[in-house]
Amino acid sequence: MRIKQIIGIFLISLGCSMPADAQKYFTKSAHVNFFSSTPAEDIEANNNKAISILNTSTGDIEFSMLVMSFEFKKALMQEHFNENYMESSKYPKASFKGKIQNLDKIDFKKDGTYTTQIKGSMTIHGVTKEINTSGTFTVKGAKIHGNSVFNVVPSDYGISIPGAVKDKIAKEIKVTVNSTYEELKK
Amino acid sequence: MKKKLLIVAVLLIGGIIYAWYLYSKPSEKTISAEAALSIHAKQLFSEYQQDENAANSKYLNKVLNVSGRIMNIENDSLGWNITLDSGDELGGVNCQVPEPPNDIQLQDGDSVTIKGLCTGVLMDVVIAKCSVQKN
Repeated sequence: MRIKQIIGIFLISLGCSMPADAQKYFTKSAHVNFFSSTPAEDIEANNNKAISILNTSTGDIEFSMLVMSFEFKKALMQEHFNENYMESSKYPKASFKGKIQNLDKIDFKKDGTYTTQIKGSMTIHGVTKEINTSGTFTVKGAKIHGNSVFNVVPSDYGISIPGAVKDKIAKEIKVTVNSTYEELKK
Repeated sequence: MKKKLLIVAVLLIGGIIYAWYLYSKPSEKTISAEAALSIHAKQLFSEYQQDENAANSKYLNKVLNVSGRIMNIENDSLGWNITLDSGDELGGVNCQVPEPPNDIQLQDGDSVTIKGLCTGVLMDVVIAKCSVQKN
């Protein structure tokens, strides 16, 4: 009886300590949009080349993108964005490294839409800040689609906007992220 | 006196129109500027692998003519997405062609020269606003 119990406990603990198969999902074409809205003007830019890795067993999620890959409608805006505000020759990348806070509530093996909270650090213009955001994961077959919308305050990242255009650029910029992940094959 | 006023008015209006033209000029989808440098995809990728900062100071925000062999070509809503072979399994040179030409057909293995703006490296070296020529 005792031995059976010991063996039972041993087997259970063995089962628990076995590392779950690391499941990594990846995309090279995550879409990041930002939108600044003021009564004077709406400004929008798109980047379709962000890369992202999602580890569904640990909840780690990372994004990396090139600042110069953001495209604007107007040439002058793109120039000002890169040269004056983001200084993208000096800081060519923006990134985010975070962790899913409610991993236990998400079944990445089962189709459906799950809301999520993600906590992590974002680096823009060489400045790193902690952020919390919410979003959704939609699982459909072998693909996972992630979506999140949050606000970024340029001055938090040491980006100063001169007085002359202050009323044209919003204090808070709305950022929308959409990424469709596929399983990373080894 | 009236003549002077007229000249000033014309200059002012001209200035405003020119400023407005500059301000509202749309972004180019495909880069029209001449390439500053020509380089092979393998060379470009290996320079980025060795020293990203040094490569950025040479190539970032520059218009490049990149030649190489197509490893992968995809057609999506944003045009052609071509990855040039870098000789390295870890990455390639990724080129977005927003306005694909009608008169050429491309497939994996073809040798091409692509002109575009270098925006840096993630896993791939990324070239934006590209036009493509078959070699």
